[in-house]
Amino acid sequence: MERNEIYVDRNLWDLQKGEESTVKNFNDSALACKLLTIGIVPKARIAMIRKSPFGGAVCIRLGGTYIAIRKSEALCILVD
Amino acid sequence: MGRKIQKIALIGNPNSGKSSLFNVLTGLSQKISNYPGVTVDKKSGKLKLSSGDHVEIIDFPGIYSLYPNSSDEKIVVETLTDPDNENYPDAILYVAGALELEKHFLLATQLKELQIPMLFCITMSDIGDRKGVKYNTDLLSQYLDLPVIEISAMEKTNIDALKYRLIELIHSSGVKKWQGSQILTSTEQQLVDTVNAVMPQSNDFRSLLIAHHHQWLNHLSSDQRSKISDSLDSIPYSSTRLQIEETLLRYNHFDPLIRKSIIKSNSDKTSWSARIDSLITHRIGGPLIFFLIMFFVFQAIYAWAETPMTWIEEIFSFLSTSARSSLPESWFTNLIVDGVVPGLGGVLIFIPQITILFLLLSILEEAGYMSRAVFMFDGMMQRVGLNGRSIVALISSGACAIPAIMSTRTISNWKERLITILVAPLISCSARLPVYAVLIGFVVPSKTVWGIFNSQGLAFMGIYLLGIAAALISAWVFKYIIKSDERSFLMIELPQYKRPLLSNVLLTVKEKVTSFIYGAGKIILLISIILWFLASYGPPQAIQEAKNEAMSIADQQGIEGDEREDLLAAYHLEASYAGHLGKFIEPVIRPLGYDWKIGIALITSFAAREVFVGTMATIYSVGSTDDELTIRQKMAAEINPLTGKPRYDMATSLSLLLFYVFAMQCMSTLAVTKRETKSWKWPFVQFSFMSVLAYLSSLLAYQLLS
Ligand SMILES: Nc1nc2c(ncn2[C@@H]2O[C@H](COP(=O)(O)OP(=O)(O)OP(=O)(O)O)[C@@H](O)[C@H]2O)c(=O)[nH]1
Ligand SMILES: [Mg+2]
Repeated sequence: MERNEIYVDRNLWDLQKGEESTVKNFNDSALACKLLTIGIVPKARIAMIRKSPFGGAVCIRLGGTYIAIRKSEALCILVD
Repeated sequence: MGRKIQKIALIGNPNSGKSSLFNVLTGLSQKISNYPGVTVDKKSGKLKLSSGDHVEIIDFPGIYSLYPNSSDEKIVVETLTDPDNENYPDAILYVAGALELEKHFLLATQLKELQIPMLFCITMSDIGDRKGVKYNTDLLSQYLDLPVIEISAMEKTNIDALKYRLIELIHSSGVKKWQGSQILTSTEQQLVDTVNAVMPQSNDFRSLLIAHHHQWLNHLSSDQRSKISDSLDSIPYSSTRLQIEETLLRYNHFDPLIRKSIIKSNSDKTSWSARIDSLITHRIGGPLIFFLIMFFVFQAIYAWAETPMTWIEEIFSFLSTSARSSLPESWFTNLIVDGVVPGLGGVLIFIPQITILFLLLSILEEAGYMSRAVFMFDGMMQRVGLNGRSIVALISSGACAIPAIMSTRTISNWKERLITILVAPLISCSARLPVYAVLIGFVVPSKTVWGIFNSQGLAFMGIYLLGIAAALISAWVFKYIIKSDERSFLMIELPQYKRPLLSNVLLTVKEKVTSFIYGAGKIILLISIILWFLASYGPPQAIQEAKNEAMSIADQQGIEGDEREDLLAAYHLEASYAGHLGKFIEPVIRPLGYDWKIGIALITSFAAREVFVGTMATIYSVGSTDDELTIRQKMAAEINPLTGKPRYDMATSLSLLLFYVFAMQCMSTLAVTKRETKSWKWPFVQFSFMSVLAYLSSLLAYQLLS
């Protein structure tokens, strides 16, 4: 997964367990296109609930819903 | 009135309650489960409204947007972009779950653009009420320019009002352009014009969807596809970019309104569901609990089913003996007593085990456990070339590979989906249960281990683990063989845990078990009749010679009575057509420790593996005078003439067991693989690699042990 950043942004994967933040942007448009459909959009409040036992996925909370996404997708979500 | 039957499509996000509503409206029993992605195909049912209108209700897979990712989602877009499609709806019944209403507006506003009459239905109002969720439905209705209605499919509240709205809907005339409609950008307009030049559409948004999806939409002719593709090449645009921009514009448009119309949302952050999850999906506890659950399931299948199985066994042996004594001696009686009854009995005896398996699996599904398993195992699955969602296919493969292969439609990446399809049949399905149950006794004697476990139950678990290991290892091998550079991804909601609804669970179990009885019953009936003929008749000369030989042996050794009959029957069977068939393949299977009788069972099992037990029962019934013995007893009494020891010794039985663990013996699975992969190549690959695996492992086991 390529991350060509100029300055260091925090992404969803970097959040602490249980930490909530606001979605700022995405660094991968193909993945962004899919994440948008489920409501992961800029300005949405999003919380990192926990990482999966084998490290491949992460459980997030968006409003009242819990969603599992992959590490690669979490890495592409930039947060405040 | 123009058309007689109007079609109404149920559309909404995954797990929003579409199929539940479908069942309420049509009285049918479409599978319902607390897992996003249960429905993977369209299904229709009829509804008669109080106005006398007959309408057809069509249940669709759930989607989040008209820019779909996986093939179940594509079905919806395929239908909605093709007014000539037989399922193109005259009206849409939009189904939104009360708890996460805000997630539905992207799809709802996209659908609005298609100018199909629509009704916005908020379902699960019972849960909504309990959580105190409240919406200003007037405001929503005004914004969407749609009637909005709140219902509960479970408590059946407001269903009559819903039906009344449906009557209004199908009698409404035309749909005005929505004031919230999005204005096309100039690039989008170019795409629309391109499509319209090739295939004129009455709706611009439909043209836009066709432009974005022209590569995979099946209703385009190859000519239309290449024309559209060629003209689009000259327009500088990125489909992804446009989709993102459009989606974001929609969010910006409806977001303020949603904020206003949600009076109280479901923001219960420390719900008990979340607390359960911190245990169930815990780093260490989670996988542990998963294995405990699976272990429990297999112990239960073995332990709970024992008593009802003996009942069924007794019923069939009673049927056999009473048919023999009450029917006149004739070929027909022989067919019934030696062919049909043992053949059917051999399989129906497994109803208790299969019921328990389906019962436990559907409780897990209904409770909402499956998506947690997806979340936990995605990392592990990725490593062997699968997707987290594959775990659901693999688990349901434990019941039957066919729905399992269907369920892979929710996996968006083709390579991950294909590998899941290829390896799913390696997981031991319910059709193997009968075979295992018969053979395990010959491999492992029944005793109690560590005070609580049954040794055969443990062996049983071991066989299942073997299947799982084989599936994962083959997947890992395929990962390196199959090439693809398509990006893979995973996105699945973890729905709230629910107390499993007894009626839903029982419905699923009933459906599955009856379809097992009918599906397996039909083929077993057919095969046991054919087999009985093949085993009872043979080339006249060979039969006569065999009879003479048997008689002279009996005379020489002074064998009388039943024993004489048995000897004659055995020689007869060997000379029959079935005997010839078995002898024909004997050279190939002799290294595995099998004789021609097992050979016959292997041949008949190629249609469906559960036939094995019925075949065994028929072969040993035709070859013996005793109707009361169970198949197991008959098999245990069989002597290998070469060694003088029991035919089903440890080596042969284990070899046979391994063969059934790995071999691809199910026509229906191959047919489904063909349909889902749209080519003969993959069923062929599946059949070959599984056969090779089966043959080699049986060979190894037999040669090492004997
Ligand atoms: N309490 C309650 N539960 C409901 C209601 N309607 C559906 N459910 C539950 O919601 C879950 C999902 O229902 P389904 O009908 O399978 O949802 P679906 O939209 O068909 O789901 P997919 O086919 O996966 O897209 C099941 O566990 C149902 O029992 C309702 O009105 N009240
Ligand atoms: Mg459904």
